[in-house]
Amino acid sequence: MKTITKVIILILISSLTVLQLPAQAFDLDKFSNPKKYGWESFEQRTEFRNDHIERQQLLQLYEVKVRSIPGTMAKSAIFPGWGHYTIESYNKGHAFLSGSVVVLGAGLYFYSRSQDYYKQYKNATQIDIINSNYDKAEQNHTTSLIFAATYAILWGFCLFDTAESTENYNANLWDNIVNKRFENISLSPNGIEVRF
Amino acid sequence: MNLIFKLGLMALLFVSLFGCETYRYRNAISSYYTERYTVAVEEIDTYLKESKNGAYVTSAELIRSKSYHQLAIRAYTGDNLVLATRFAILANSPATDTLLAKCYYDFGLREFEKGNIDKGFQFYDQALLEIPDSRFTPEILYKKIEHAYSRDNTNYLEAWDLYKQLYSSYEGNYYEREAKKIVVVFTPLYITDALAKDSEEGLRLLLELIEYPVGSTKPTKDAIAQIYIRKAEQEITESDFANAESNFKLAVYYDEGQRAYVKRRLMDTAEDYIITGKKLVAQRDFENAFILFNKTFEVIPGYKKALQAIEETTILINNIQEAKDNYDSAKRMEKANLRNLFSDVKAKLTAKERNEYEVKRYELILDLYKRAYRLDSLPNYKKEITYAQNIIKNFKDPEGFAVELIKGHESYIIKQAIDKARDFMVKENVTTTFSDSGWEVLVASGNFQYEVRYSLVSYSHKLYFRWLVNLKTEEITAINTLSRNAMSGEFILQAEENENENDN
Repeated sequence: MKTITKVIILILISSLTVLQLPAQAFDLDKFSNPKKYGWESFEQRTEFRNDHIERQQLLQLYEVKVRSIPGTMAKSAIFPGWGHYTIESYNKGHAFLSGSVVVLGAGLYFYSRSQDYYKQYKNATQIDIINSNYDKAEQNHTTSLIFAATYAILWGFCLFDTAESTENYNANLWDNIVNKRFENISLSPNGIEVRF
Repeated sequence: MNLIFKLGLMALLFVSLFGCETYRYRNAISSYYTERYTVAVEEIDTYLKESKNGAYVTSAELIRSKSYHQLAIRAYTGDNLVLATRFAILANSPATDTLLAKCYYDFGLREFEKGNIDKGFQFYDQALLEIPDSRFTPEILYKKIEHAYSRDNTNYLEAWDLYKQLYSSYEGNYYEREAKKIVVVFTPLYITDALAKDSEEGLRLLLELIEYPVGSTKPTKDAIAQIYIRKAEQEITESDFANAESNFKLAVYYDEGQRAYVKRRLMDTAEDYIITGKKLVAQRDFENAFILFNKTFEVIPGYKKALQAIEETTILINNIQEAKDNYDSAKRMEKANLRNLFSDVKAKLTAKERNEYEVKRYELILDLYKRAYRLDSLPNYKKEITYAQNIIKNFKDPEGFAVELIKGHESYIIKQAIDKARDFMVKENVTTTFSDSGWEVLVASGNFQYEVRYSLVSYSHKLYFRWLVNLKTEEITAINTLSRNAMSGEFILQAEENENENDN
């Protein structure tokens, strides 16, 4: 099994190295072509520059409101759904939290029952009762393990989804900031009006 | 089981952390921080093609711009102007503008050294267009001014426009002071050309020139004053005295030396107001006349001639009104009943008594018309005086007045015709006699209408002269052809006899 692990890690490192190699020979003329970004004229360059400067100013606002992926993942690792609440994804948060509580609760319930049957099995003196309690203890223990595994899968999926959702949240956050900038600028009879 | 769980957890973390946007962004920009700018640009370009997060896109573009900036610096340091320019354009940021301006400036210098003047200025123009506030701008503008003026020293407009641009942004700059020396050279020509243009355009050019401290302002101000005087003179010819006066004052504001001339012209203008005002008075347009008279006070406060004109006009208006009142009274008196005019009128009057009262009435009326005419010499009043006098004569001795009118018609011309007719009758009737009726006056139908007759009758000839006379208007109308001819002083026999017979 250790060999399989080593092989997988080796493949991953190799793939990362290969991905970083240049795809084709370097063409300086193409690389330094002033029109490569579609700026056919000075006016188009100016238009891009002005837009870029405006967007740079919005970055400060974005930095304040952005959520870090490791941060939300850590929260979800502690309490599944907590990371989702942080990024205002309340439905998913409710689903993961309630799902985790139910699955974990069921697991603990069956584990407790298996322990009870196990104690009865230990204290029993008749062979039929001994066999019956042992079977029940084993059955409940197996069920509790299934719930534990389900919880583990749910927890893992919650972590994965937290990362994905945080990424989407951050992307949407930027779009909202940009859109709000245009909402705050309106054309009135007195000219252009900016609301803060 | 434990190993599978661990592997699963690792894979999950790997996918979550390394497959995410943040990782890709950080990976793309990482080369910038290791000063591998070319790689950074390419990786950022690749990242930008698939990125979904606008914030990372903006940030990555910023890093890309910085990378190009660094590449441009390296290219410029390596004396590769072309590459430096291209990278500076691709950087497309305010931070790189100075370097880009420097590239254009250096390109221009190189072209000048090669003798490609026009191409060199193309680079300068590019620098002015793309980086108008770079530190090279004053020098570039100065060089363009120098070049434009040296190329054609009669066409200074381009140099002037460039100087205005230079002055507005770099007043006091070394190159602005140098450019001013060129502008001072062509200023006299500028002023001459401005004076040659129409007034508005000339003024615009000169007022613009005076805003810039290019040499002494006196010649410019003198020229402005000249244009204002020209405008004022033109406005005087168009009777626009108010604007003329305003422009004269502006001329003095710009050139005190014009004060004496302007004062004289203002006196003339005031005089023009008075003359025009009096013309309006003659046309009885008193309202506008007063406006003009009062306007003279704006030109010369308390101008005596204007005061006198106002006084005269006020008296004239009063006289006109009084004359009209007299005229209206006379007209009312003509229509009035005798009893309303004279309290001693009896209930029944004889013709003679009535005539006496009528004479009295028209003597009063005549007096009113005469007073009206003395106050306002209107032809209508004069005519009414004549009518009143005639009516008085009519009531006193209508027959005598009728004969007097016929006899006196056009210097006794009718009497001459009658004499000719009598001479004819004498010659024709040597052996016989003929009758001469003398002047006969009959009352005719219509007010003041009388018929005046004169007849010469023999066996062979019957000459009847007949006229209708209006004693009020002195109008004489010939009733037959013989009489009509007599009014021309002629006596024509042949037609007369037949016609007279027909008439009779």
